[in-house]
Amino acid sequence: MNKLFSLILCVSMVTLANGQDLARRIPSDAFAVVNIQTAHFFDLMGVEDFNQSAIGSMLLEKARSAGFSSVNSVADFGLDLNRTSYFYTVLTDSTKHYNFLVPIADATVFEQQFIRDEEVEEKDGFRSFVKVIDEDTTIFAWDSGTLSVTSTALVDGYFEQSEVADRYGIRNYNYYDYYDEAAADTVSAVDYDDYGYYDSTAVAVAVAPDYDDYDDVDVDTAEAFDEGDKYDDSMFLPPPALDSTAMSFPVPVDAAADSAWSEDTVYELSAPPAVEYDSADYDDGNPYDEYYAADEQIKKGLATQWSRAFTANLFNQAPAESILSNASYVSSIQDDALITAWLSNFESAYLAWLPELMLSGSTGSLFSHYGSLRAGLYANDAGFRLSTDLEIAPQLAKSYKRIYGRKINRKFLNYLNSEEAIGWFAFAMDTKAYLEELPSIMKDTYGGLLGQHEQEITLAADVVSLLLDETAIANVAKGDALFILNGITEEEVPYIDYEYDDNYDYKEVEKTKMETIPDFLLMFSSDDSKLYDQVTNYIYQKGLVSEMDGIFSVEESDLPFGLYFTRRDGIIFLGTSSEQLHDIAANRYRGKISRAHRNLIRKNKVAGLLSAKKLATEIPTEELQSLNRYIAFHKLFGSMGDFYFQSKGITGTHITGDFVAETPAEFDNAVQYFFALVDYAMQDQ
Amino acid sequence: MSTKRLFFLFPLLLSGLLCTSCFQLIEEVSVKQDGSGTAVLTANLSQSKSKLAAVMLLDSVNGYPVPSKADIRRELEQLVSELQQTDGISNVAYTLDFNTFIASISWSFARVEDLNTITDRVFEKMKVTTANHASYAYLPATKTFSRTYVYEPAAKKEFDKLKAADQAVFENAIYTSIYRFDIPVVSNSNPIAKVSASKKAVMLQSPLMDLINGRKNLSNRIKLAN
Repeated sequence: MNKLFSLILCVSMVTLANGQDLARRIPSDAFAVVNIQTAHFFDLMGVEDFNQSAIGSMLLEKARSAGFSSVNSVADFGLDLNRTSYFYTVLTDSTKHYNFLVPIADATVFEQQFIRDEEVEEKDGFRSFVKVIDEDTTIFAWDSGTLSVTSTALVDGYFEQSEVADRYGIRNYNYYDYYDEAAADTVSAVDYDDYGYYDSTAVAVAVAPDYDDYDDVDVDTAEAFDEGDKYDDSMFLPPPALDSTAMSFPVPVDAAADSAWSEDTVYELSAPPAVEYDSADYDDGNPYDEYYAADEQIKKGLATQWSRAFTANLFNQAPAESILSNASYVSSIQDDALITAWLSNFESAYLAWLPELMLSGSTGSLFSHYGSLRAGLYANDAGFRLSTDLEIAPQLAKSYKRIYGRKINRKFLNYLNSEEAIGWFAFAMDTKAYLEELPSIMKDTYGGLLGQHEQEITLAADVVSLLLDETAIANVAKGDALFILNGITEEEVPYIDYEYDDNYDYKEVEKTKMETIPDFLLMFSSDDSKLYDQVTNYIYQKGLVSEMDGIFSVEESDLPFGLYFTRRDGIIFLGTSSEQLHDIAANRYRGKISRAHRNLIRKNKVAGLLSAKKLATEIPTEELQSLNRYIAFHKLFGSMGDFYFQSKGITGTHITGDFVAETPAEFDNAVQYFFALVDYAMQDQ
Repeated sequence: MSTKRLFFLFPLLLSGLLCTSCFQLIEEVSVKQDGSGTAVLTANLSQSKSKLAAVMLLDSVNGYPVPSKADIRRELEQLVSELQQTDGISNVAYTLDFNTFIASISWSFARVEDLNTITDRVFEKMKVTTANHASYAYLPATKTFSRTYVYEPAAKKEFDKLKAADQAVFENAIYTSIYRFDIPVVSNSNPIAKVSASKKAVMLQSPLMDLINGRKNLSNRIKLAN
């Protein structure tokens, strides 16, 4: 995203907002919509506090250096600090429109800040200027209450269709066409005159796009042009007709030797080229670069023209149905969120941004099982929460419901000590259901995608299903597990060094050094004691493990830590602490799980937690060699709250998940905490 | 990635990230009066063995593919085979210990100059980056052994391109060269090189970073007694 967009985003993010009025300008078929609810942001952090924060100061400083003089507060941009800003995209078969809608509080103040040195046009109740940013045209348009910032990208595939290319005079010339033509000696008599020169008149006719005929524009963009009569055509950029003198001409193979081809003539007709060439390219005579530049010029002209039409439509005609009539979108809006994002359709997103998927002719059902995606970033006194909700097809939901049908083994909780653990990760799924559902999901999802292998995939899925004894496997690993990172310990490990005598003869000597080793415990449910006994007996006989009191120790391991395992009460334990494993086997180990951790694990299908504070205390001082690093590390991480994520799996036809960064007790809310962290980090630099 | 590798990924990464690395390179050359002799190159990565053992369980680390033990052994065997075909080189042997992560390769040479043709190849095969364009010479008439070392600024540029995590690997690495003779050393031109008590060996040690940065020079001219 370019700097100006970033600035707009930053400013709009700090623009207080509540109302939904600008959303009425967003059509109901918008592809994705982001609400930036800055009103809530400033509920949590005052405007003045923001101005004085490191981020706020930087924003204001950058604004001033960019020419926004007399800006001393985010409130000075003239933007409305009490309404919601939006970012949305509208897709058609030929265009991708990206638009910011930002509420304006005082258009006079806004204009004083934003339109200096710009050529402003005023028509039909709104003002606008065009700015080229990173070679892309962006249209800034506003009326008394709304700023619209529009950038339009074209869908390349659309212009590769021959009838579309012909309509706009786009050549889609392939780099190798020139050599193919030369090889076939098929220099067209129509294209070249008697001297072998390109017929520029023919080119001009061929490439002049018919801009008057708006009906020729694709269906969706044509809608935008229906209102075209209201505008003065001069507002649009002139058609990007090619300048014949700016083109260089392909030199036919046999024309090179033509005596009529004088140097002067060549210079006059072929200069100046639109692109700078090195001599090697120039001599080659391949017109690819010129044609490509000409195509791009036409496309840019179209993009600008359609972008202008989009903007004009926005200000002059409310959509027949606004996004506010879209129930899925409306359900994504949450008043207490800082930002909410809504994506209408997962499959469309992939196809819009990864059109290559269509090349295989079929996407199978890879994405068609997924519907809308909703996400919200919340901040409150508890912390930041990023919540996501993905809608899936009922059939897939049914499969997932079966897969996530298991609850985590309650006995796991006895082995978690919340006060000591740095972090943990827990999940519960049903291995049997997973193995039973997998073949059909695989068939359904990938079969169509790899069209030519559909039969093989179907066959493989059936064979896998036939071969596996799902029940037997599920008995070995039922599908739930808990991984606990209990700590990071320092351990003395040996290494080989050399000792040199007076004659520099040397011998190997063993020395030791301290290394940090993770101390973890993994547990998973397993009902099949017979297989466990058989396997352990086998590897014991082979000398791969040693055994003491039912605790097996992995021998000759390459791992930098000892690894032990045992089985008790239908659970297989694998860990790095021999002492802990022995305590578990002897039923001496007593964990102490907090209520919060218990709820997180029990009420979710997948959950994980990391305590940055505990991690900070566990990192050995040796690893933070300098004092500055030590202080910075502890100050930054030592005051951080816990991070955790949770997912309840499937609820109805939705997969939901949350990522939470908790606010430490000494901060009022997550926003203040975040800004304090940034302030500190920037001071530290 | 196999299940086994995936399974250990998390704790090992944690372990790997927190370890500091260190390794030693030792070049030992024994020269007889007639210019023939033996050479041993040793790479001792023992101080980083925990990290390496962990890395060996992964398919790649920091974006680089991790060779298997079999791959490493195969590479070394191939190198030995190539050296055996080299004129003037004989008695090529190697050791490779994945418990200590120490590898060495040794050979006999007919003339000191034979070292020049193989040293680069050895380092290249061992995937050891050196800033070293070594050139060895011995003049039996004057009994002078010389090593010419030219600092290569490109090495520093390549080093600078590495990610910080990869650069850290070189931070504590040590390079040692030992030259042995069967007659006493009369003089040695490199001020950081030391002559042994018996006067029959010269040792030079330097942090590898000093060589990469061009702060130290390995060039030496060692005059032996007539």
